[in-house]
Amino acid sequence: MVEHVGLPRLEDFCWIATQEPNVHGGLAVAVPFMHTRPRYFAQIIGELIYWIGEDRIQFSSDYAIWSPRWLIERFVDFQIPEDMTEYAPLTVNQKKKILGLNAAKMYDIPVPAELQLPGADETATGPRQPERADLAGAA
Amino acid sequence: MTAALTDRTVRDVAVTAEEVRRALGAVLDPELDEPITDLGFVRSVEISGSLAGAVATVHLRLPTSFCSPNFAYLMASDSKDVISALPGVAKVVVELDDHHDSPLINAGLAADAGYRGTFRHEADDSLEELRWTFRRKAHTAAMERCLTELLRADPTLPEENVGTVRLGDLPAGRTKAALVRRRMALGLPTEPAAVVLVDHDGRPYPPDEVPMALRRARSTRISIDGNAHFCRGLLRTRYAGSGADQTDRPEGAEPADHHHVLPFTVKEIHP
Repeated sequence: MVEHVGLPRLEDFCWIATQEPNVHGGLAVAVPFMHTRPRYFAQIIGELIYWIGEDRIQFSSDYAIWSPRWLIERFVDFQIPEDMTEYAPLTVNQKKKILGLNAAKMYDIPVPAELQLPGADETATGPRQPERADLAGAA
Repeated sequence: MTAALTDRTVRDVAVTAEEVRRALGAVLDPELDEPITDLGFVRSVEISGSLAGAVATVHLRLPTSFCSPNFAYLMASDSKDVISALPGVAKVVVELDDHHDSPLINAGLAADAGYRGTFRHEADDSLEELRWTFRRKAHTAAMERCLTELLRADPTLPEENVGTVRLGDLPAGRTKAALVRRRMALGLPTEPAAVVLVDHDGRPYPPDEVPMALRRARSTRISIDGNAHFCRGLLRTRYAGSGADQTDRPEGAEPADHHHVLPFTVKEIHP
């Protein structure tokens, strides 16, 4: 789990994480941008869904700073602005995964059977062209 | 020499604080790709006159005490260089305030010790390489802004097709002008027939690599825009009133940018 999804180095995190199927992104620090910079947050979540996929993103609360209830409620209602046509709208299924089901799967936390995510670790995204990674080129 | 003549001579040669600020407008924060004057990093400019020429004293401030020392040094030493180049300036003092490496950087600047002379064993290989890295990133972001504007304006345009868009196809405006400037900085061609989506050496991408190139460029642009606004906010929180010295940044702007009062107590006081 990489918290803050690498912020302020979002691009580096996306590029590294997309090549490592066991890297998950934690949304601490990123989620509260829904309040002050919703367009920025929309792009962060849009990029994460593209680069690491909806199965490897997890909600984080920054609980020591505030009570996180408002973050959860706002995320449930959050949507990508319509003019950002480069991203598909967030689906209810994606939000469920990000808000808890991905964590339930990772930590073996029991959830109702109909909500259980498939056991096989098959993500739609996974590593992309690892041979083109910056680090591989520098070796 | 009469007193009147002396006065006039001093006025004729001495620069003004305004001229110094204007010169500082050429100094960029490498990572955010913006002039330090727009970011509010110039804390004060003072000119004291002497017959031999003006003494310009500039204080710089940054959003945190732990901003990258490399970048801090680069901006401070660039500041000293552009002011030194002004006619009528006899001496330049540039000091970076409130940074964990302020004593080191300020001593290095005062002694004109250079980057390696200032940081010694902690120095990276080359500041020039750092500059190029961020020039390339700035170009990448400018390129993506142009292409994403096109894609948003025309929902029927497939992502794969932006690989053949040429400079001449882009509508005139701020976004295109910025791209042309960044291309010039990298020495890339700027004629209308030049392909927009290219790598750092100006090579276009094969069609199957276009979406990935665009996507990578997008994550670069989002990072730069996000950090440019984040750093502005940190500076305003750290230095009360510094928002008045900042210029709004249209790229990545949000309505909250105009609410400069944050619901936090300013913990650091810098009288």
